[in-house]
Amino acid sequence: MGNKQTVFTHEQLEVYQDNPFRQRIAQVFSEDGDGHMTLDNFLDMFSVMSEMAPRDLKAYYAFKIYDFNNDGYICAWDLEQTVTKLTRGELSAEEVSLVCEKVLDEADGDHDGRLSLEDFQNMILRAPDFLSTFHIRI
Amino acid sequence: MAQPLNFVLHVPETPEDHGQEPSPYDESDVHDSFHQLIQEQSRWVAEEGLELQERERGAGAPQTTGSGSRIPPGPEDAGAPSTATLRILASMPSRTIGRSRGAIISQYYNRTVQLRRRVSRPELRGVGRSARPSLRLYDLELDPAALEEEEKRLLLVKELQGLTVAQRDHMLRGMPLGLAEKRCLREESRTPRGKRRGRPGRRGLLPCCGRLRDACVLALHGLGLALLSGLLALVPWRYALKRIGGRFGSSALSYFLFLKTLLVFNALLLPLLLAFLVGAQAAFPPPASPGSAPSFTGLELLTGGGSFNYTVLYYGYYSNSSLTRPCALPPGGPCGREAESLPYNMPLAYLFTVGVAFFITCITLVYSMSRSFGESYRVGSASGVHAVTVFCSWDHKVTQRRASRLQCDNIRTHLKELLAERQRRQGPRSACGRLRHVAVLGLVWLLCLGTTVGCTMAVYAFSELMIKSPVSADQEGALLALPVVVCLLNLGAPYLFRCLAALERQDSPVLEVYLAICRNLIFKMAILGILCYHWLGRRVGTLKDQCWENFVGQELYRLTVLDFIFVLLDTLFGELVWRLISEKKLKRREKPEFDIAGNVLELIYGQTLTWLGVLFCPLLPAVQIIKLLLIFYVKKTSLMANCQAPRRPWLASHMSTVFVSLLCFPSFLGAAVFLCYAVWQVKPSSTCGPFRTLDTMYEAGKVWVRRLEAAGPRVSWLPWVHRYLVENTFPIYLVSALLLAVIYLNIQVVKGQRRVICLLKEQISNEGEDKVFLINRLHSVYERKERSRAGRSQETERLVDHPDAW
Repeated sequence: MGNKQTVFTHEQLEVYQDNPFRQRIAQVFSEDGDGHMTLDNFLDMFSVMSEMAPRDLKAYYAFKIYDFNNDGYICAWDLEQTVTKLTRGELSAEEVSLVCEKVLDEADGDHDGRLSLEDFQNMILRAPDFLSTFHIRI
Repeated sequence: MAQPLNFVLHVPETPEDHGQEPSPYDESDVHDSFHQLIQEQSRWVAEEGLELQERERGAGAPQTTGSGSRIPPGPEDAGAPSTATLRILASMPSRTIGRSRGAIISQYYNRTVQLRRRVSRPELRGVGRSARPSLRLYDLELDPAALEEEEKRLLLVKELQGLTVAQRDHMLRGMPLGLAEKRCLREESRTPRGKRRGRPGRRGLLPCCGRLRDACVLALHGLGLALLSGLLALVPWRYALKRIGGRFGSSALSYFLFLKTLLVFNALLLPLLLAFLVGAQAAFPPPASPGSAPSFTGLELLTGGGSFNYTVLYYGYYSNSSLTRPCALPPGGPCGREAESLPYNMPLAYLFTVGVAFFITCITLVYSMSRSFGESYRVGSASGVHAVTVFCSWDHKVTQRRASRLQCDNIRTHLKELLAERQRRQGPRSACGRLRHVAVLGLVWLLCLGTTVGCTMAVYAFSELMIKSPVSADQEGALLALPVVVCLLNLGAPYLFRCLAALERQDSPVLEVYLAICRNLIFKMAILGILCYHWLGRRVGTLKDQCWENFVGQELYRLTVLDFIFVLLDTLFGELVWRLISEKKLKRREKPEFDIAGNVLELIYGQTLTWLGVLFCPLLPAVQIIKLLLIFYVKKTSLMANCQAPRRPWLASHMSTVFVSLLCFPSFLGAAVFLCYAVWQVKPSSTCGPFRTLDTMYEAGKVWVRRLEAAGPRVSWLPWVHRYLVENTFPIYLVSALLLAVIYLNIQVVKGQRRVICLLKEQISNEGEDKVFLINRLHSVYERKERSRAGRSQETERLVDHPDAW
């Protein structure tokens, strides 16, 4: 059996989903962080986004997806990017910043102006829907 | 030239560096950077104190020396942090968790060790100089003898080997590593057992069979994989559910998942009844009753009467003693007394089977309710609705372009609504407005309850009318009148309630949905309640010499079948015709929304009917299964063709919990109460059924216990149990009191947990402030170092340039 590796470019993957986070998902699960996934990465992605994955594992990868600048924290800029992508830029800038402010108020436990992984996991615990929405059916 | 200074500089200890209490770590275990930093800082303070002393000498003013201990915290000089600060920050434990595999492995090593050693605390002797032995033993991350990643991995594998298989799988599943690595870890942590098994095996078999053995193993492996994929394909409706989730999201999917759950409940119920009741009686039918049974006409499928009366479908068919072998000779022959009776007591079997079926259903319901409750309810969770909307509301299941665009719109609308709500809530409603709101609320509730009471009285009056005008055997179609009236009321009431609720103008859409569910549920339960009274209270009296149980069974069968027909009609008119009208006449592009709450309540109502009817019509679960299967396909087709996803963002998992709780509490509980009343209090009819000679159905059990008592001392514990635990009421009081005590204790525990959560939140906030303070101090220290280094290099340059300055 050979060790042939198939690489999916993110253009190929884009055809399958109209997901606003598709590029981030591809970047997070790819080995080199630029969106090109090998078969192993692809399997990892489906394993994490399947029904059986535990909540903490999903929260960990969701955190990495929402952390656009890869600095280990979800700062205000990351939040603005998330909200803009989620609403396809149809909210005004003022509304976006209001929403980000409210999110930080609610979720930031140690009041350092950004969300750490623990803050994020704590917030996910309050959202029982997370398991059913962060899920791709195959 | 600098004069030699020869005074002793006293550098007081800074409180934040060396506290009075012993530090949590030993001196040598403190993080290297911080330790060096503290030493450098002390030295620098000494130098600064000297410099100050130097300069001030000229001025002659007295000087506070060495008071550099109070380094002013400098958040004001927050420029870009220096590279040294960044390096330190980058190696903070909380940062490295997401970054390197080594950190992940260390973290999971710690967790595995804690899991393994959860029961035993570490010994205090022989632990070393550390003040916190637990940390000394367990912590791999803060261990200054930083191990290589490979060594950490080996340690992790060793720890994993000490866990049980289930714990190991659970731990591996939660690790944020790649699949390939997890597979390697699993293989390695399995190896000792494999090695032990492999070696003797290898020695035992002949080497020439090696290839054959490999081929067999590969073939078996392939067969296993094929079986697994076949099993997965057998899971019903996988593709259909995927399409529904892809086009309509999780909320519409929750309805179909609930339907699947109901199918499972009925599928649990049916085999018991089939095996012990229907099958047994069908295999050994009772002697044919005098008179001929009517032939089959199509009407029986609707009314359930006619020729169905003399089949296993109803209670009346079952014999009231032990089963007998069927007679080969024609009736009236010398069969009677010599017929062998089998040791299968039908009345007892009937009572026990129905009881056990309900018991199993109860346990399953309570288990699934507690599991979904556990997932969706968290102690001390305050509302974080904005955060939850931003992070958890995008449904990754949705794959169709149009549907995901719709989802986008919904989320945007929801966010706008939330923002608007905040702004609106900032201006509290005036007293007049609040009073008016309460008045409107009260009025709407009054109207809804009034409608319920009115419909209940209407059903009661109609049922009394049906009693007064008895129906002859050839007019069985007229029996359909009462079920039709009930179904029409059930169809019309939700629309009426929806119109009334539009008057209310609630702020919160979720509250609107809950109120609608509440009102519809009260209505349906009231109607069912009056019907139960009609059957057990009135019909028993009026059908004294006939088989009232058969009649009740038939009524329930009719209700079930007509409910199905009306669901079809509702789907047809509510969805298809409405869509055609709105598209052609009103020229609106919007399709009607899929009404989740209404449809789910219909399912719950149908299931209640089944549970009510199990005692009198043991095959009713089979009818319900066929009905649910057909409803699935009808609703799916209608959904795909006519509807769009609901606009209101649904908390799908909360709603699943609510659905299962509603299934348990009014629905199953009501059916259980009905069953208990029928078994304990109502006199069975004397002409048919397995309990025809007894006063109550429960007496069959008592009779059996008495027979056991008479049988001898070998089974005397059963009559004893019956007399002192079942018939005596004291144990029931005791058990209830114990249950109440346990519930009270649990409530107190939850209260305590809430308080602990508040305290922990405060602590996290304080730690965050501490962290910010320390980072700022670090930053200012390095900044000053840079400045002083720059200053010193300038000085040396100056000296180099002008050597004659001194």
